[in-house]
Amino acid sequence: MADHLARLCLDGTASTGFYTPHGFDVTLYGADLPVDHMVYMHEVQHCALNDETAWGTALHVYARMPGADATFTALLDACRLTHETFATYSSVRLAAARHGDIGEILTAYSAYRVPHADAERLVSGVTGANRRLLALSAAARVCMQGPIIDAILHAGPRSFALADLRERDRPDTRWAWFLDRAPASLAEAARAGDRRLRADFDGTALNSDAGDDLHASTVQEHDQAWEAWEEAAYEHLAGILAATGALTHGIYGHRQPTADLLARISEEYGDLGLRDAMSEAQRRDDAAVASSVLQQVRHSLSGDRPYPAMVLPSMDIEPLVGDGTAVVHIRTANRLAALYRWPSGTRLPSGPVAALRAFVDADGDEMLGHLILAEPDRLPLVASPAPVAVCVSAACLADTGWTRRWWKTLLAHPVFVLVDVEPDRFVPAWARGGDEVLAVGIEIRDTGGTRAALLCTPDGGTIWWLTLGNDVTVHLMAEYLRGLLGTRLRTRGELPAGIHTAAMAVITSLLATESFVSFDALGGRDG
Amino acid sequence: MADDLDAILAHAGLDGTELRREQTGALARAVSRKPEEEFITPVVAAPGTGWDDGQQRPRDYLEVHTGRWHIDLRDPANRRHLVLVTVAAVLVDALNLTERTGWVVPVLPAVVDVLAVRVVPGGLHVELALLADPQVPADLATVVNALDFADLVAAVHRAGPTVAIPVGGTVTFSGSTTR
Repeated sequence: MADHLARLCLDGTASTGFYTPHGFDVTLYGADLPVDHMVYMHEVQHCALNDETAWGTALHVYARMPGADATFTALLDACRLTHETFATYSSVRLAAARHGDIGEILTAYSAYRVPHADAERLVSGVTGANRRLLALSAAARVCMQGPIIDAILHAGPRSFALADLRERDRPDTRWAWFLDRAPASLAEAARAGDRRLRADFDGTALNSDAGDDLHASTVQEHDQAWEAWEEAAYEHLAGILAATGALTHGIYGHRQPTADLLARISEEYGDLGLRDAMSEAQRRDDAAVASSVLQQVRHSLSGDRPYPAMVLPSMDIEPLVGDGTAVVHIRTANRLAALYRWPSGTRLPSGPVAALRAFVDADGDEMLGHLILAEPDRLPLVASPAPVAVCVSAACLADTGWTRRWWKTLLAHPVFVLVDVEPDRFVPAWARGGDEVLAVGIEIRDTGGTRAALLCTPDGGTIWWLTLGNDVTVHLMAEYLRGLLGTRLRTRGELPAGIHTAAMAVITSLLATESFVSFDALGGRDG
Repeated sequence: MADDLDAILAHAGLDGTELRREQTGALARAVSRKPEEEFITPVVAAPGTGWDDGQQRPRDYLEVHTGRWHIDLRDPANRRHLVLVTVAAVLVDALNLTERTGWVVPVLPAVVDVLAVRVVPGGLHVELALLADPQVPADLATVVNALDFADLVAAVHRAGPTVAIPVGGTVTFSGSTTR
């Protein structure tokens, strides 16, 4: 599913992103934070729209069903306009809210100016920055909430074709219908939302959304009010659309059909890695949303393609280490296979693989050489003359046999656990443990741009868990930790002196040699 | 010899040997009240659309809006396609169809024959012949809903014999013919 037609892209001359129902990849240059933020949020919006609608469920299903590429592409073609217009406008406004005046942020993305202008026309009759976002979200959700799951269940997942659905029940036809009636359609929906808030809530949420400031209007205490507002706007839009004969689920009405379809798919095809639709409680829970987004993001650090890599023959490690800290990287074999382009015929050891990395000249081509350390007793050898830092990915720790054999040796050095799995896999254990967790956010500026990292230790500094990405990723991770740990999450502005050199060596090495970072190493796209 | 497209271009005040985004927008405004993007998108699906960077582009909505494409008006296939898009846009607006122009374009040849398009005072005059026993084209059977197609056929057969084009001009429908 890597071809251009099978994904939703934010493609321009600066940072880029693309989304498929398997997740999203972003290549952030780090040169312009507002642009990076917009690119990131653009892909997040695609995720969110698919995760909470019937059409999104269908995309998730056909993206994974064997032999269903043509149906998937037909479904995607039928919702590109809705998806891109919604994602473009929302991401631009969210970037503006965070960074202030963003000027011509779409300069490098000329193809997105028309969708952005369309969205502005749609919401031009809506008051308040937050309500404009919510009104557009309500419209996009109405467009994506046609009776597609019922059609699939009726025809059977394999026999279903786009022709089974009326044109008026397809997202982009609906979107064009609303656009044709802009700005009145969304303005009326917004008034319905305002009426709901005046009837059922006090005026604080409405009053907080008077101008362009999203910060004041989106504080957590207003979440329920805005959810009710969007639901009222949604109901209004679905109501006026019904005049065309269009059928639309209630805003949460796709959940039972989604569960029915997933059960049918599971029965016929086994586990395809599909998830149930998010519940209302999950949508309100910032930690759940952060976790859902985190498990779908991938930051590319090597540009369009993974680095070429090779296994180095057994050799003296000194030339690889140099004067600085020697970083021993440990990744699962599946992850290594996904991270790099290996020469054909390369056989990596099974299970977690420990290696020193260095770019080497291989017959004129620069490749990332891996000197594999087969057993724990090879590790102390690299301690001389350089100090050693260990960067072991979290997915490796799931292999308990390997961990038993290696852990004691690793702990002789500073250990950093690179977070490459969903935080749901380890943070709840920290929450149950009852200890404080110390978190330190740092910004890294180098010739490659600006990156961000979050280092956490749940054990007083023995092991540091490292999340690497951009400021949005770090913000989401912090949000997630705060949600689960509450006041037991302690933050400080800088790393303890004793760990600083090793941490910077690990981060620098990662930025230079890791092709991408993501949170799906277990059960994700690597397999 | 002047043909249907010459009449359409003249009506929109256009000449030259190629059509770009700006001219296509002008053409859209001359024949329909709908948003011009609805017209431009199927235009770019013309068989001979050229891309300024020399690459063949995929059929992706967003590529349409870069404006980095052009349509060679000397190519007969492109000319036929542009006439078809124009007639589809005219019908969507004149008959107040729910379907978009891009949906109507590929099915229209299964519903009507375009007999002539000419400039008349105040707009265009489009002459269409209804086809007998229209069927969903086989290559569109997995995409086009049979009831939507039936609705289009019914709308076209209900209309006429003369319908006003909202931005100016008329459409006439003549009796069913078998192709």
